[in-house]
Amino acid sequence: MVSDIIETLASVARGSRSKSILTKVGEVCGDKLLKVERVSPSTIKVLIKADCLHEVAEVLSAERDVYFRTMAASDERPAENLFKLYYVFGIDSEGTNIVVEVPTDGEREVPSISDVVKACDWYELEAHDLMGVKFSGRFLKRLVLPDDWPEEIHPLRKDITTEEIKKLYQPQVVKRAVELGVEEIVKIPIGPYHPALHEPEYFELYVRGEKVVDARYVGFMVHRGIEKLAESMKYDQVPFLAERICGICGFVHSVSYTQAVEEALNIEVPEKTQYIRTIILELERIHSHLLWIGVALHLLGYDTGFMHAWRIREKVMVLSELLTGSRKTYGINLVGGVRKDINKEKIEKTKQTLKQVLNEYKEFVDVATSVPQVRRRLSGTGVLPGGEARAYSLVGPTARGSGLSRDVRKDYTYGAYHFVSFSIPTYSEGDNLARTLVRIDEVYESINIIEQLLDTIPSSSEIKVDSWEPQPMKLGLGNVEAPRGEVIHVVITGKYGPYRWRVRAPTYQNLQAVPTMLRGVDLADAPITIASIDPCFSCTDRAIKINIKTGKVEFIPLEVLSRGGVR
Amino acid sequence: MDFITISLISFFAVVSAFLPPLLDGVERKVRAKIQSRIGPPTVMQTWYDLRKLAVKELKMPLGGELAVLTVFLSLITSVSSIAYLTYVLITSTLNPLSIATLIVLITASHNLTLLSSVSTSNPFSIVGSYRNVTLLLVNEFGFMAGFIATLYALVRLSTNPTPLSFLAYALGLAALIVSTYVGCGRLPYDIHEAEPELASGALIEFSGVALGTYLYTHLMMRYVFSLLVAYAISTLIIGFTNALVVIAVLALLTSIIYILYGVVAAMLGRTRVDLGVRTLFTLYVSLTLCLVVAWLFA
Repeated sequence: MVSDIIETLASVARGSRSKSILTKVGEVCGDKLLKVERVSPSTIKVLIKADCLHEVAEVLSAERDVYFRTMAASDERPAENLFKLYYVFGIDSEGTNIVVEVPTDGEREVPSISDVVKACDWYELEAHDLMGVKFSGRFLKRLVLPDDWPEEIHPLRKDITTEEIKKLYQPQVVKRAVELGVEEIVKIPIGPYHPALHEPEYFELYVRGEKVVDARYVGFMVHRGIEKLAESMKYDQVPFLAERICGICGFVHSVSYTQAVEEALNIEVPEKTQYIRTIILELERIHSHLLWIGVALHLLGYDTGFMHAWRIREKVMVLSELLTGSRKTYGINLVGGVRKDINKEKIEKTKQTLKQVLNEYKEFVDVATSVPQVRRRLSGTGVLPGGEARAYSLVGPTARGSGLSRDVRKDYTYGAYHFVSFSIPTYSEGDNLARTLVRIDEVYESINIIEQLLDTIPSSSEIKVDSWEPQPMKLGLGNVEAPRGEVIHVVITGKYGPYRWRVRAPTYQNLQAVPTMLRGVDLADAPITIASIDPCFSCTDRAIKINIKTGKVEFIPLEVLSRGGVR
Repeated sequence: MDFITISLISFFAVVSAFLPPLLDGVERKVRAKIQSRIGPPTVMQTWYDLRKLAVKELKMPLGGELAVLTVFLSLITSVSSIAYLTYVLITSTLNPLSIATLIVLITASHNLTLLSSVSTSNPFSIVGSYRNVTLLLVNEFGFMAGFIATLYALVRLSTNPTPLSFLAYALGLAALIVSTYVGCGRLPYDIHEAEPELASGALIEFSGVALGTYLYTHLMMRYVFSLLVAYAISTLIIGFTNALVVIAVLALLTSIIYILYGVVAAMLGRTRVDLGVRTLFTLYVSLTLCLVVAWLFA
């Protein structure tokens, strides 16, 4: 029996690495390995019993070229009366995903793997919070849900609708307002904030003198329930929602989502679509990196650099508008295609603008990196050794600044990246300077990639597939190398829209390593160290105004608050 | 002292009280130009800001009564230092006593501004203030050494202008320029109010008229520091005797130095307290050693 399964494992393997790894998995599982199948050319799904999950995690984490990419918990009780956990491991050297599927009835505990896969810590807490999955061998606490959230309500379960959640849960602010005896109370959820990035995040730094001896992170201040929201939307509505996950690099999410659906439903996308998506993705990387460089220089007190970085970025924003119709939140992506073509005139204009950007950027970078305070404060601060980066399964410039040449554009290639030649800037020092230099170099690479793509873009006008048919309960993975690192979306298809959609942004993976980076730095360098992972908390700052008498809840943009305030 | 002298001192003191916020407005415009921005609508913007702060509500920080008191004391000493400095420059009464009085007034004003935040319970303002106290420990040494050495060298140059006397003057002036620049609290030495890590640090607890007074005093001190450098330079280059011309030249040169300091600040990033102290300590010790050697041989 076991030998049969191992034989099947070997037959679905993509190459020698996946064959060897899958054989090891088969050996440790024995008859607890229930099924193995290839769900797409680059994805192999292995169904195992929960009892052998820990052993499988040990096997996979021991391999140097394997890393934990994401985990999605799914409530599949309507179809199979089970919850399922999908652990996605990637084999970098082969570009293969191994999806370990673990069924559970929701009552029995699933063994925790966070002791062997550090990066899985938050995923388990989140699955416990949102889906009610129990894990053994670890301490479980609230991660995403607020402290006053009712214990028995797990919002991602299928038997709870968004409307019910709204009725079941009211923030404690109402109770507090009654206690205070006030008619109205204003709650502005930017409370625990960080002065460096003005986003709802909270770092507790324990300092001796000006040295940080330890740090603690508390996040998820503004959890928007986007995954739940998508379950009630149609396939082609979700890209617009996905793009709103991030206010800086939203396009990466819409591309990730569409790629996941296209993989699950086996949709062949026209070549020109791939070109257009890749060009916009790289433009987004340029403006995002310029934004980050500006913010980083501001944190180091070099405001002149900040202003000039954003001046150059402005040209890229105008270019984005030329190609997509919008400076940000482009709204051009659909499952199976894009909505806007790039014609010859736009190609020429883009080339001219990129030339200007390149010249100004070179000049700016030369000056900015030679400012003594900038150089001295970036060198040797916020160090993250390569071993730690690997243990936390870090991604993007954070990983590449610690010597890991991980980049899904090459490792798990997608879009039109296989048509162009480019390099992956990598530095081994692991400090803030290394992460900065990675981003600086990546801007050059992105300009180079766009120029190559513009030279070879197909002339056809076919930019989307005519029609496609959804099939329920198909698994698809979509990944994009976002400016901050790998974005990965897991989609389980439904009849009209996604049955389950799991979004994993790069900050989710990278944030867990920040306390390690902060230990030993000076207080003055804490903001730049936190910012060095280019964190994106994907938030929308809003104030909630609650009238106790009527129970009416209003959302007020901060801009309105700043103009006149709220009574 | 005749009526004309008293009138001139009063006039210059009034001009000196008016100029710092105006120069700050000019500096903001220049900095904006360097940074490809438009900047404030007018060079009077700092004055408008101060006027607005003066009529805003004063929110007293917890345990901050002493802080507010020290801010006003600091304003008094800074006004006194400008008036006394004007008197000394116009009447040419530079002697050990007047120099000592000037140093006491300037450093008292400077230190009071910085110490004002220590008495609040806000950790950001406490960290910010202590950062500056640490920096001051080194910088006051450089300031006194530079100021005294420059004045001494100026006296020596007027009687015995040898190359070594000139070298001693140049070294003293270098120490004076660096120490006054640091004393101005400009980048890279604005660590007491570093916004990213301390959310405005020493300033965080001040509001309304207290914040306005703090900022005004801070600008006055910048002006005083620029004036000292202007005096050290102008005395060597031009030996004016007409008091009105002295005042005009000093006001012009002080304004130029003030703006130049602002331009330099726009080119730099922020230092860290340990790096800043180490850099200044090394620089001042080196300059002092060179000065001693120059004097010995002169």
